[in-house]
Amino acid sequence: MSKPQRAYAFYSPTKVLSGNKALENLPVELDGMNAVKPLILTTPGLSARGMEKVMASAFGDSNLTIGVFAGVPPQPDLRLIRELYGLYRDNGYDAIIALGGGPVLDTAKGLNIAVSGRPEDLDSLASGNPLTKKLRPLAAILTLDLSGCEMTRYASLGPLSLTSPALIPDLMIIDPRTVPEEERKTVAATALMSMTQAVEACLHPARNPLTDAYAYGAARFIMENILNVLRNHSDRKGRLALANAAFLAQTSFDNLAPGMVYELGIAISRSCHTKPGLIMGLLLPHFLLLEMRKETTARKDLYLFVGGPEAFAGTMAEAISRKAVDRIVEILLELQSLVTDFPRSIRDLGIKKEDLEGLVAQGSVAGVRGEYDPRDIRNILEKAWETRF
Amino acid sequence: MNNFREITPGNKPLKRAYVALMLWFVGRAIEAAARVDGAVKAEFGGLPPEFTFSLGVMPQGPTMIVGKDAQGLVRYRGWNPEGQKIDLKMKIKNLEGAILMFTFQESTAVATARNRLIVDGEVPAACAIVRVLDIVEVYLLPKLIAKLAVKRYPDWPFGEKILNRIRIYAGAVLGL
Repeated sequence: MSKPQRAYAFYSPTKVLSGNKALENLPVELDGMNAVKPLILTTPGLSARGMEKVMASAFGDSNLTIGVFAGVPPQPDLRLIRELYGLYRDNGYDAIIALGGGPVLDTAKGLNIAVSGRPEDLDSLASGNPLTKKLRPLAAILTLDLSGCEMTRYASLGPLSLTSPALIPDLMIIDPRTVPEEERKTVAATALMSMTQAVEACLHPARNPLTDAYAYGAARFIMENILNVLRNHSDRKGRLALANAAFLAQTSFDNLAPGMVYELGIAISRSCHTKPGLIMGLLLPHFLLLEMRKETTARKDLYLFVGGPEAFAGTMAEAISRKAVDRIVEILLELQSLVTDFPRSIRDLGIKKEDLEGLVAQGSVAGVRGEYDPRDIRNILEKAWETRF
Repeated sequence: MNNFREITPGNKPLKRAYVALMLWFVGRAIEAAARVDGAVKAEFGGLPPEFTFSLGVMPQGPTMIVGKDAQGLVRYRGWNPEGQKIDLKMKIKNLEGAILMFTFQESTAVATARNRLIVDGEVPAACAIVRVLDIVEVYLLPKLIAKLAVKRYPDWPFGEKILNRIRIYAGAVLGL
């Protein structure tokens, strides 16, 4: 880990502002990107929790006018983008601020493509043609209800899957006021999603020193804060750490191809409507056990990521790989004890044994892009189906 | 379209007035401190002739301007930067950042580390001004508060500190 073994590339264009009063920097940051009239996109839920007021206060004394659209649905589609396109153009907006996770960022990325060129550019990008125009400024304000793709090059709008590095937000703000308390299940799902992204980045064959650094940061933030955030609703610093972890994990994930657990989690989530992070949590220990058995890809310092430097230093070399799996299982069990309807196995989600072959096929073809042997995918799915944590 | 509205956020007149008052007072205190404190005098002595700096809040002030005149004396030059040649502009990114600094919840060094300031000018000059601001805050504030506002509280002889404090207050408030 001390020196790069081979050539590598790493891309993260996002400026990050995190901490107390970070939100108040928005007017200056927008000015630096030649924007003076932003359109804020958010969900009705976040609006009802007073986020509009928080945003208005952050723009206080700035002499700017802001637009707020608080109607982003859970499944945004192209019709919404066309409506917002008209709204953006008619009112003279010149930047987008996405306040929230998942669908808000998907909408913001889609709208940004449309307003920076034409709405037809969305279909063009989805068909594989690259974007030719520079996009307008996009700022993301993360909560803890995340899909795992907010700060990445990916977005999905109905049937369209969009992928372009230009979609990565220019600015990310994490402020204690905009990371409100969420349901325990939501926080656990987001943390397990980030943990999966970090661990898979750490074990990825194409990992590099920067993806390692981001994955390490994410893993440490999660392991040190998740339990306290779930037990103590007033742990604002802990929530901030988890939002930072999400950014770190997503950035390392964005620089590598999606991993097996991530893809399987998304595929299973589509069929049983459970948060993908919870499913990934159930798959992750089995994936790690499988990785442990592979001499070529296993790395001994995974326990440094999940256990921390002190525990790592105090563990005997021959036990160190096993300890990483044990620590992940410990955290999973503790999360299950804190979240009332956390599934114990993928069987609990209504997945039948005969459904597993279909998931293996999905994972092999669409998901893991040929990097994993279908036998490994089957092995993990069968273990996750049989084992109840 | 449903769920859409346009907002023109309001102003924060009380916070703005407080920061304006503090900048006015600190600006005048710097002028007085440059007369009575050797370290402040030395910091300004190391800056170019007729060096002028401003410390203000983005996007629309308030601002204080302090500079050396042709004789090398440090003068508070008011709040309006128009028509003044300013060598170093230190801008606090927003009013809330200024409130954190001027209610001494964050020292100048901490505010800089937390990305609350933009410096337009030479970095060594900006460092000199941050040191001057630290010294002035030690004179203006009781030890308990000043410890929060400065990077390191200095170990000055008690009598000298009190005497200089009286002279700086007299200079800042009464213009003596």
